[in-house]
Formats: sequence, structure tokens, C-alpha cells
Amino acid sequence: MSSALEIQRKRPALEKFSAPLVTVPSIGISRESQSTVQKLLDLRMHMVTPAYSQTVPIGADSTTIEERLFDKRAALKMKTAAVAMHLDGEWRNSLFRQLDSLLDVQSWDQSDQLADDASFFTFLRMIIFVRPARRPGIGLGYNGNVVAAWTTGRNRLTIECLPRDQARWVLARFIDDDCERAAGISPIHRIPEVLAPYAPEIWFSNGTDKAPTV
Amino acid sequence: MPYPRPPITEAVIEIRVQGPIDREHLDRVQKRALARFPLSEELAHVGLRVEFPTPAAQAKIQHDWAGYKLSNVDRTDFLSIGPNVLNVSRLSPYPGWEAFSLGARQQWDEWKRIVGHQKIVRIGVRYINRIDVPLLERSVIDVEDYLTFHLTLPKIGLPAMTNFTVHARMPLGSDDCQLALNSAATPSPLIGHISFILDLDLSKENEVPQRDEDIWILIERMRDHKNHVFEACITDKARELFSR
Repeated sequence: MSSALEIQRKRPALEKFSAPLVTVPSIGISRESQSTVQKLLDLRMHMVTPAYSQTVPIGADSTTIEERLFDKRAALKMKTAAVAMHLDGEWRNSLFRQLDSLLDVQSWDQSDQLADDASFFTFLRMIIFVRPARRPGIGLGYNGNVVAAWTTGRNRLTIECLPRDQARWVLARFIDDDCERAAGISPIHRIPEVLAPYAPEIWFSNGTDKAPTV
Repeated sequence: MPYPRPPITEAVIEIRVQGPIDREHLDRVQKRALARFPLSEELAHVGLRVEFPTPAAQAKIQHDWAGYKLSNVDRTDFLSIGPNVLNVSRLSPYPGWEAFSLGARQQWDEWKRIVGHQKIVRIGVRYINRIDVPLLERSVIDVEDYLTFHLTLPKIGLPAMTNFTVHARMPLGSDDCQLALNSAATPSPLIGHISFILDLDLSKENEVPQRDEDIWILIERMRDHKNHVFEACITDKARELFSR
């Protein structure tokens, strides 16, 4: 008997993460065929839980900017819950405070773009993968992408998290009083390698925060 | 055994009553709960009703009010109330059984104070776990290295599975409870990982206790049973992943 599972390297769509993948087969016409399909659909529904329930919020269409900011904060916190077991408690609390501040109606400009869900998910995945001990400052790009920034003295690193696990990074690094500048777009799993020549510990390790754990 | 980083993505305690409870009482429960769960949304079941008058059929979207879903500002603690259900759930990070069950009990006490006595028809305790397994350099992973409740295929030269979902339902054999077990592979939210869902749902629908003391003794016992089943469904290799 075998229970071997082949690893799918292709990155799935955002909504597929953590969801059971129930594939509906070719549909036959017999009662048995329909019953099997119904059981599979029931299984998919059964695995939905109350917090992510299938009922529909009434009046869910946000109209005012205050409502939209509120909904966005709530959505990003729900996304964080999916990986919260890998974040130190203080890390997570600090992240939530940053989100509250970033999406605060008092400081919000009507022309600002709300944070992009896919970009935020890239940010979470990057943080858990890179495991910086030092928390970044967080901002939003003009297009709603999450921007993480670390500054140590004159040394600056900025990473804009793009959807689908891509990152646009820019750095200025002083070594022996010479400033090196570099920029690039990389998949987030390559961030440690592409930053390695610039000794990124100066940004990531120079703190007392606990790194995310995996 | 308490783990440093429990893989629980959601814990649920649910009490279903015969109901239906009227809207006025549920509105009062919702208002009282706002102190702890300030975010509240109304829920509806959406259906499509097709009427066949002559000469043409008419389709109408029908919203049936289904209750409220409330949560704390961090969106980790949820309270769902409906005409025949009270449901408390907690997302990750899991604060431990004492804190979780105490919160559920407080909501139940409040519900009962407002709604009054209702016949309880079902009590459920459900834990959904997600075990994140690092891939390292592997292209194939053996599910049985991590889960003891999984699918096995006959060795007839088939390539490895690309996905699986298993569902089983059975009597628990204790306290006249039912056990529903689900396990599935799922894309991991972590880079370089695959995840397995292990979903345990314990419920009691026969001779459901009606007195508060008995209800919470049963829920405690269901939690013990759940732990026993969970430990039996995972391997030491899985345990290592969330014990560090």
C-alpha cells in the first residue's frame, strides 16, 4: 500500500491556501454518480467552519471610507490568523497595531489605495520565510502594495511585496564608507540569497524582537 | 499535551437548541455580546426561489435571516448566534482550553439568561488542525510519516497521489458521541511547505444533557476524547513540527 503524495510546486491561487481541494469528477447520469458528486460537494461545504461560514453578511457592501478601512483591517487580520501559529505573540500584536495605524481613517487620504490582499499575503509569507528578528516599518505603496522597510543608520532596505510571492527591493548599504546601491525584483524565496552580498543581518538581526518560527 | 505552537487553525464549541428563537431575543443576545465582540454582521442564507405563474416563470433571490456573526477586533474570537444555535470559535493563535472554554461558557450563560431554557438537541466540539510540513528537497512526501489517518493506495505502479481528502464518520464509543474525521492535503500558506488538514468533529445528539453542569462536564470530556483521537492520528514526526 502506498500513501505517497507528489508535491505540487505550482503556486495556487490565494483562496486555495489551507482549503481542502475536492475535485468534482466527470458527471454521469446515474443516481450513484450524482450521489457521489453530491457527497464530494457536501464534504467541501462540511469543512467550512463557522468563522469562514457560508452564510452571507447582510449589507456587506461597504460604502464609506470608514467602512472600507474597517473591512480591510478585519480581512488582513483574518489572513494573519492563517499563519499566526508561526508568529511570536508580540510580533503579531505589533503587526496588528501597525495595521490599525496604517488603515486609520484619521490619517487616511481619499486618494490612497487600500492594502492589496495578495500583497499582504506575500508579506506574511516573506516574513515567516526570512524570519527577521527585527520588525520592519510597514507602509503602503501607491497601488496598495505592502512595503516593508528596515533602516539602520544610513543603511536602508525597502521591500515592496507584490502579489504572487514577488518582491521589489531597493537598498543602500554603506561598507567602509562606500555606499552601494542595488535594486531588483525577485521571488520571495530568493530574498536571502539576493541580499546575502550586502550582509542583511544589519537590518534583520539588529534587534531584540523574537523571529517568527517555523 | 500542550504544544508550544499548537497547529490548531480553529477551535469550535457549538450548542444547538430546538428553537427557533425569535429575532427579538437574538437581538438582545447580540447587543450584550458587543462588549466582548464589537464587530458584528448580520447573516443570511441566500436561496433562489423560482415561481411558475403563467405565462412566464419568475426567479427571486431570497435572503433568509440567519443570525449574527460577531468577533473581537483582532478577528480571532467569533460568536455566531442563530435561531437555533450558539457557536463560539477561536482562530490561531489558540490560547489554550481553559481560556477558550471559559469564554464559551460565559457566552452560553449570557445566552441562556436572555433566551431562557431551550431544549438542547446537539453539542459539538470541533478542532481543525493544519500541520505544516517542510518540503526540504523532496518531490514526494509519504503522508503516513505524519498522519495515521490517511488514504492508502494499492501498489500497482500508480504514480504518487497529487491530492487527497478523506472523510469518515463513526460512533466514538464513549459518551454516546459521534466522531467525524477529515484529513486532506492542502497548499500551505508557508513557502517551501505542504500542509495536511486534520479536522476532528465530536458531537452528541442522543440524550443530550440539559443541565448546565452536565453540559460542561460533557464538553470537557469531549475535549479529552478529541485530544486522544488527535494524538492517535499523528506521528512523532508530526509532533516534532509544532513542539519546537
